[in-house]
Amino acid sequence: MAKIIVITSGKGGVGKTTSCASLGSGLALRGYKTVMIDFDVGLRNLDLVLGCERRVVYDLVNVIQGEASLHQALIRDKRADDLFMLPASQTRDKDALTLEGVDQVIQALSIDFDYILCDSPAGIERGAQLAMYFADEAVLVTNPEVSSVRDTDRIIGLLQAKTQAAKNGGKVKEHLLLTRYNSQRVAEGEMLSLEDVQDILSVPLMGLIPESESVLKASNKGVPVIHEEGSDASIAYKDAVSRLLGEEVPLKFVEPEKTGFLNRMFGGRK
Amino acid sequence: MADATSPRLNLVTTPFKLKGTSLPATLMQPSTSNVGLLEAELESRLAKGSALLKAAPLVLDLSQLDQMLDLSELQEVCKRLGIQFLAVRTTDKSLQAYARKLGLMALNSLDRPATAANQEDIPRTLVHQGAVRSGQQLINEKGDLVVMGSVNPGAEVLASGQIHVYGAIRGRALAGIQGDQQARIFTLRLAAELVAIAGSYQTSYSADFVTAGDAVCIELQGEKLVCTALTQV
Repeated sequence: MAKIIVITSGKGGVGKTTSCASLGSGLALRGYKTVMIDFDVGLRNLDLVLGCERRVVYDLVNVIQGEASLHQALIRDKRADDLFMLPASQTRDKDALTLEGVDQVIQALSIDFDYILCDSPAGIERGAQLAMYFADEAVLVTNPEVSSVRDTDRIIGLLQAKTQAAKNGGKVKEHLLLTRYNSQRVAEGEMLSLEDVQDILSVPLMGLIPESESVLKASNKGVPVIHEEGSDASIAYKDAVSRLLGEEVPLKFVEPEKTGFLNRMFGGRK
Repeated sequence: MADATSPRLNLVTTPFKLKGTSLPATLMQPSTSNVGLLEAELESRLAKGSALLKAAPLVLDLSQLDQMLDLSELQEVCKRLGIQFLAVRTTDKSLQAYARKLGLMALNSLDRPATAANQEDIPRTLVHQGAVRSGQQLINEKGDLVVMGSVNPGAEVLASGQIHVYGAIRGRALAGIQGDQQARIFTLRLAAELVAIAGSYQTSYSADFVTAGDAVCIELQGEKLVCTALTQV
């Protein structure tokens, strides 16, 4: 039986797709058979971030409407053998997605896979609700910024009300993934700190991803940033995967790096 | 704009209110069906000043008695002695029917209601575990509300009674929504978008209103909302 995890946020542009790609890759590198489903119908991005946009033949809507089998639609990642993705449709709109269709796809995938990651679109409307409906766990991607925190709070409210788990009297397990964290600006009082965010959200922290130039570079190359060995973001995502698997890892990147004189003159942020 | 004298929420007006109440009663368990003997004993107890017979209505428990007791005769006796004979407790259906014919209440001995008849109207406190998230709305129209967490921005908590928040109020809190002006709001940290008691409200923009700081209690004094600090133990 697979664990179904939704990557959601409410706010757009905080790093859901980026994180989904890296978390999925991280799980696959640890040996777990993982599939990622892109729920952003019409605005699909997961295939771009993974670098497999030229291999998309069939998509989620094709599968739901019976035009293709799951086997035909799934794309295997080149870098991690255990990682697959199911792209979203680009030409249709979100009304083509039905609850029954999504249920059937997830049930079929549950047989062969250990983890099913659902990359949610932004917002709280149908696409986001469909992505979270069958989830056992949720990764709440949040920027340390007031709008993002409030939108995440809203999404938590929806997770507690509009999911299958909630309707059966259970609970979707929440994990906080704080992305684009700039410890220098937090120290200077310009940015919300981890404590400020937790004051409002009170969700167990899964990971803290520092603001990093490597994210943009990796995205343009079509490589999930977790593969950029040595970069801060890669290390942070690997730690996040460990914590998702229940391991205890000390939190990094919370304090600003103590840089030497030369580094401050000539260095950037890795 | 709503204020204390003309609250936004109208009090519901009906010709009467129904509430559950409890009445002490005396249970008599006869060991004989001889009304004459019962009468003699009743008289003697009354003479001794029995409060059980004078101050409370009488309920006759026939579940232990095998013989037939003449209910109408006993009713006459009680009337003469000034005892309020109210009801008969028995499992015998025909006896219950007869009792009702005599104008008495018939209670089934085996019936023991699990909850009190007035359970519906008893003010209940709603306790919510965890934070109230943005977009969520908690309402208790029949009593107080306790939140074991914070009320986040964009969330609303409403109660006809008091509101206690063991956390920060960053959203909206409305107490006394049915018009109770004595209702109060208690919180460990006030940073609310709006607070209201019985229709009188205050947003966080008012200059003379405490908007941040330690634990406070908010109450309505006259037409103004007043904040008092709760002392730390």
